[in-house]
Amino acid sequence: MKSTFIKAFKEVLREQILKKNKVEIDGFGTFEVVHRKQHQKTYENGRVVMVPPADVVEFKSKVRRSNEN
Amino acid sequence: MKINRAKLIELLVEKTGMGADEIESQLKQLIDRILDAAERGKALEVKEFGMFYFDEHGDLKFDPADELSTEINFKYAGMEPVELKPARDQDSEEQAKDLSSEEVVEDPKDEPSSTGSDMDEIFGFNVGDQDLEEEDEGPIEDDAEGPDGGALISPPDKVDRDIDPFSGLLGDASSKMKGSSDDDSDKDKEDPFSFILEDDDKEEEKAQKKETDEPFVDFGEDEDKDDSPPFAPDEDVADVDDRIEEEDDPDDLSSIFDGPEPKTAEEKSKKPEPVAAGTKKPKSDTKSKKVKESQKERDPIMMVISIALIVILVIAGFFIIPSLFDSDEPATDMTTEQPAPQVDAPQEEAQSVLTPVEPEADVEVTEEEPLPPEPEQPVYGLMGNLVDEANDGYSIVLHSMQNEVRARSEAADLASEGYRVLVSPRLVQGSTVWRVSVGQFPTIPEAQQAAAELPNPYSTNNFIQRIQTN
Repeated sequence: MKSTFIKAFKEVLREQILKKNKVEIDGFGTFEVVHRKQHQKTYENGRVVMVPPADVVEFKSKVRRSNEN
Repeated sequence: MKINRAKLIELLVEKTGMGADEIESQLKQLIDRILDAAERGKALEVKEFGMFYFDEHGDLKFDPADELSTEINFKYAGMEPVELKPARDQDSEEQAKDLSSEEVVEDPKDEPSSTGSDMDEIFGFNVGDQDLEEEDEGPIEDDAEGPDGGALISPPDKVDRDIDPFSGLLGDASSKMKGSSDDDSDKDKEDPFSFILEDDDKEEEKAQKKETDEPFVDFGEDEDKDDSPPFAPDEDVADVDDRIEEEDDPDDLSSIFDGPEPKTAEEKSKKPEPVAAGTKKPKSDTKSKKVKESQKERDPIMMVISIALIVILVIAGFFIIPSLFDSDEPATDMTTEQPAPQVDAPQEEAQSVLTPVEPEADVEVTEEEPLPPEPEQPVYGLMGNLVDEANDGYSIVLHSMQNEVRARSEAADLASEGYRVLVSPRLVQGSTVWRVSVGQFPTIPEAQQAAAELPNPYSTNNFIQRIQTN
């Protein structure tokens, strides 16, 4: 594996994800940006925190561990 | 838009200049390697991108690296969770009423004010009817009945006083056990700030108490009516608390806090004194004198403490109020410029075992080859002139303003100090902000390192953004 490839791979993915493009690599998974709205989080002890909105990368994959050990 | 494998390869070819076949095989290698490592139960990290691993359910997971997350989340950079309501123990108190009241009651002890009210409730509860009657009579009829009535109580009194410190502890604990959560809820409803307003009233009451003994009767009666103690009167506890009241400064303090609480609390705050008088009374005349003395001693202390409180509040007011008005726009801007989530470099080193071999140096060298305008100036850096080739890197945002003119003037100031300054408009939540950033850095860690070395207040008030984000 060439380092230039990995660097390019990271960059391409990063750019595409940032453009809100869904990157689908069959046989591996999909990357996409998901927006998390601002929301209140209530802890069990009564603490309430306002969590700011965020964009997060989400990776979904159908690949499962083949040899479950 | 969806990027599928073919499109991805196309983009990669564009980026690297390698052949499509080569890219294909490289991509396959990468995926194989990720899956292989994951299969072996290891997490494979692609530096500055993220980690791939199988979770406990055997699903392939990806944890984005901080660099990636920061970048993706650039719109909301610097936004931190805001606590709306602190952790409260009241709820759990009520739930755990039955069994673990001990543990629950301990929580409020952490706060001084609630400690006070705690103590107060203890008084309220543990002062039994029997005790009160004796106490009430004491002051009025002077010493005549005192010894008789007190005969019952005095022995335990003495015992408790002898083993003072420990009895204090024991009394505390037992009272905690007994201090019911019913009472706690009462306390919680009361306005915690009312003491500020009612402080003066309270002092007057105290003064009255000192001057005339009659109020004691009233208080006693009140207690009889109001407090039908859910628990049997506990002499020991009352005594112990009594002692604590007299000796410990914190408790004096606490009584100040409690006293001013609205009505029920007022009554409670008065109770300690009657108790003190009553329990002591039985001993002898000297005892009762001592009590009166201690009361007199306490009053000045409370006066002083309450005055100190007021002074502190006033001083705090002086400091806080101007600062509220003074804070002009730059300050408000700064609030939006919370430092971006930090990335720790050491972690990377530790994980580099798993990282695909990636000699970054090589890559950087290739990038540094096309040295553009000034041959002396490195592509990346904090100072100097902007280098277009370095725009694939990161920059330290120092100002974020909605006013372009102001942003430009800030930028000019920074430029005159020799920084590489970028001004970039960004759309944040529907409105355009102008971000003034300095430096061009190849990686986030490098930018963060440089940011930490900036002069105040920039060293802490900044965040990193990718130059060409959108």
